[in-house]
Amino acid sequence: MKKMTPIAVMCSVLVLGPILSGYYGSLVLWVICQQGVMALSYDFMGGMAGKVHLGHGFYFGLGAYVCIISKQAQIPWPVGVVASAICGAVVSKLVSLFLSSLRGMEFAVSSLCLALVGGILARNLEPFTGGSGGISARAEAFGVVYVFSVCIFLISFEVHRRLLTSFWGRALRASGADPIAASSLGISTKRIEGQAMVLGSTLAAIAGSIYPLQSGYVSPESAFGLDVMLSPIAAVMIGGGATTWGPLWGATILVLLQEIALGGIPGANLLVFGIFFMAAGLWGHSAPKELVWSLIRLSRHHRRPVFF
Amino acid sequence: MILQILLQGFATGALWGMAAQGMSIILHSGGFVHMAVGHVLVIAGIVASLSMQAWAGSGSLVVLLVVPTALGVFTHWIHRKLPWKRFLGEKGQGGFFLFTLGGVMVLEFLGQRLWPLPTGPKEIAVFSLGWGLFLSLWSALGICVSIITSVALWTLLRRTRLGFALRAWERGTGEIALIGVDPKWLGRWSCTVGCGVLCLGGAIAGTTQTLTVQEGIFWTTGALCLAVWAGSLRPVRANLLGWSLGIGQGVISMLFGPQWHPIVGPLLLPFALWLRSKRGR
Repeated sequence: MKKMTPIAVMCSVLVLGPILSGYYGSLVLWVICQQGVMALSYDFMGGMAGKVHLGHGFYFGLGAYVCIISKQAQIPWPVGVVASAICGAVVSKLVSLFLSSLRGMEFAVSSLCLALVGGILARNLEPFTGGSGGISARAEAFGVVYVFSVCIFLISFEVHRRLLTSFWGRALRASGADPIAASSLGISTKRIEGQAMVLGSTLAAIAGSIYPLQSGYVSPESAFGLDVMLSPIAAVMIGGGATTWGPLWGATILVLLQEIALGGIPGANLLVFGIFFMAAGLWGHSAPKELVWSLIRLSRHHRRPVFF
Repeated sequence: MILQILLQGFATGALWGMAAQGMSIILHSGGFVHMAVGHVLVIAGIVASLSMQAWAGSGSLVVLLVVPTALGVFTHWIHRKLPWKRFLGEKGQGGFFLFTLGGVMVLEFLGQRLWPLPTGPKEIAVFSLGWGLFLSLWSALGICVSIITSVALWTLLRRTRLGFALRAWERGTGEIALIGVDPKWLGRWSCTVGCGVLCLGGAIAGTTQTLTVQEGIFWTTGALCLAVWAGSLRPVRANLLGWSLGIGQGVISMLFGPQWHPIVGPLLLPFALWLRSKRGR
């Protein structure tokens, strides 16, 4: 019963929030849902497998473009969402065959290249993607998009929660913590990491496919921009990886930070991500989390924070 | 036409060569992946371009010498302040990678605020080489500087104490401890030498090309790709690979259009890393 209380509170906020807070509040909740799905999907690789997957946002952009192109072709949007998920799964399967043999920085840099290639393709394949100017299509009613986003978010949450404590999740965490020890226990680290990449990428592609349903517009910057690539990684760093609630807290804090504190400064989220990454580089992956929670404690109690 | 494109590719390749040499020094000495090298190059280029516009004419060459020197000293000062003790410990290379990636974002934010528009040379004086071939003065200078840089780096690595220590560091941290060299000092100097070469390349790039801060990450991936292909501390080989990349980009521009040439670095780098991982096993 105790375990279910936070989930019940989260569901109540998602259901009652739009009724009580109006359009702007619903929009913020929708963004939190989107970022939450991205953070949970990234956590399979970044948190559980312990790999810095800098190209995770690529699948968000891929999903967004597949969905809006299918919308332009007068295909119903649910079909577009399914097509995005299939594209995400297929592309990530192909990419995982190549990337699964890489570790550490090599993996991180190669996955970053994936994101850069995505951006270049989006800019240059003008007949399909609209080039640098982007591509637009009719947006769906916000209520429909919100309900759909919440459903996807809750499904992602439940999938992540169940997998985290399953045999598969423990095997993935073991392969992330010590691949040699995991292999000696009979776990195929390459295969399990490949599966994690496909699962995470499919969820990210679905999250991406929802984006044009709300905005009605996709451009290379909005789909493959640096902030799109880095926000799920920052969310997992802030909230903590290999937990279900950690990435969600991280995503919520990031969205609120962007909405409340950085709304007036264009591009300021890049600066925040930069500071988080530098902190993670200096003091380890948990440093951004410590930093943010110290600041929250400071604002609540007006006490001197204890960093690291 | 084809020869002109190849010549232009050769001139661009000289810039890639310098980027590759700078990255190679940092990557192959301590094994650090410095993600901000592209931004160092681009910022040096933008500063050089703006300075040249301000002091055009006979002062151009002075600007071309002063800007990389000043930025080189500045990068040395920054790298002196880095907590090398953390980066030299266990998982230190991963920490350095994340730290410099964070630095990229901070530089990108600052760059977008300071130089939101692309900057480039106002006018480029070209001279004829005969057979209908033309080359700008700065491109010719770039080719010469890339050759001089590779010879200078080769001499540094083969003839100086710093070079011996860098080559020993390539073998492992234990080896430099044996010869009594402080790894922190070596880390600082490898980054200073690498970034110095990049600043020089950037200053020449600023006189020949239009640059934006957002291009920094493409320069980084391209330089990293070339440094990985170079295999070890071999500046001449890194320079030759840079020329090959430049010529390759020229061919791609000719076949598919100039908008496609940034794809070369990000496409080749994962392949290079994959090959290296296979070779390592």
